[in-house]
Amino acid sequence: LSVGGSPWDGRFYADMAHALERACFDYIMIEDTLMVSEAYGGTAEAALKHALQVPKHDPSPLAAIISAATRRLGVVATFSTMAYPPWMLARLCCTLDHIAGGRFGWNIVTSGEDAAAQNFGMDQLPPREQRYAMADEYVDVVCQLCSIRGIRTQWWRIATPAPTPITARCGRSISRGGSSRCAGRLTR
Amino acid sequence: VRPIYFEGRFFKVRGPLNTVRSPQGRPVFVQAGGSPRGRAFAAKHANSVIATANGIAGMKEYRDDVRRHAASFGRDPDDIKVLFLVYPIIAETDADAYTKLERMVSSSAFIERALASISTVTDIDFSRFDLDRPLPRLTTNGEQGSLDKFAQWGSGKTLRQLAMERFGTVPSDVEFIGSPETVAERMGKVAEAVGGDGFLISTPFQRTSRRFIIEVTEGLVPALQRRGLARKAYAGRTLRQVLREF
Repeated sequence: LSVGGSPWDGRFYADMAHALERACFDYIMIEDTLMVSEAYGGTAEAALKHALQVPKHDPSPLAAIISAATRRLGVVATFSTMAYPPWMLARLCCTLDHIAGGRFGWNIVTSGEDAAAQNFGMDQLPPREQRYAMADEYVDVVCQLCSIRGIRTQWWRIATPAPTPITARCGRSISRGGSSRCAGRLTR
Repeated sequence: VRPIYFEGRFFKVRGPLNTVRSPQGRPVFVQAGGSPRGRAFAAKHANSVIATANGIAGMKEYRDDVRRHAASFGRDPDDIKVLFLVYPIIAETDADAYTKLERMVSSSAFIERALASISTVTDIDFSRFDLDRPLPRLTTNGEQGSLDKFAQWGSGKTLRQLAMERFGTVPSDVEFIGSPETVAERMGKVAEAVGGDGFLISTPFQRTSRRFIIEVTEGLVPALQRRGLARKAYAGRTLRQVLREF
């Protein structure tokens, strides 16, 4: 499998986003995981041999590249609540939403593999119930951080563009799409 | 701009952010919750949910459940677009598409690849089960929804069969294999039976290529557009507006 040329410079994602935008997709989704899996057979051999979940790039710069290359397509990147302190994530999302002109989405994941937890100071993944309890609180923090308005600082208010109201609508549709958990894997 | 002084069970954050307020207020939230806990989380927070479910009945049950939960949280269910993860196989003709599928699943590496790929998202070592016997009942602390879809609990199928059907059973009521016209027609019927809202298009083993993208954007999408099933132009400026367009 080949994307041709330099497979890791991010241009493939810009190309794909252009095609999806021409086709009027709702969004492109950049999936992510945070480990090289040893789940199958207790070694990384199968994951590496078949390029399963590896290799892949960090979704944030890819989201920035895609956003800068498009004008209407939604850009969704996957960030794990296990991996980012909420303040960092809230700021990252705000920054990406600006680069995308209000087209950014965060795909919220809690991570689901022990190998990922082991990259963040844990021996084992917390049980699902606890991960979601943490994620509930995490999303609450992010919403609070994002909802602070420039109350006293007119400077900030000036810098904050107001969302444009919808003035036209498309015909009814029952199909929408995003593409692809795709991203990481394309390039080998 | 002022601190939030958040102090919860897990996090303590002073705030505020030192950046500019997000154009959308906050970014759109997308989530993929397959377990009951995950569904409740998605219903509470998400603007779009990525879902896996078996067949039209399973898809309808999933979507109805998320929408019911959303209403119980005081949300408008239409604020959540449920997109089902699909792996369409598109070719010039229906026969070509089935040949493509056959070529994929009959490759010698396919079974191992299929099993290893479900292992990576479930932390379950599928190399330790007999290929020619049904799977024992399993649960995971990882992607429960993906596991449930893969295992087809109660079907009595062997692990080898399940591996062959990793990216869709044939025949099935949600079989997206064929020419662009065939797949578009089927997508419309499935979306109508489920009640909405759409699909997230991916590829087996996440091997997206420019060729696949073209098959979708210049084959499938125009066929959907001709049926009035996909937009031909954007209206909204923000992602939140675009999601709510229809």
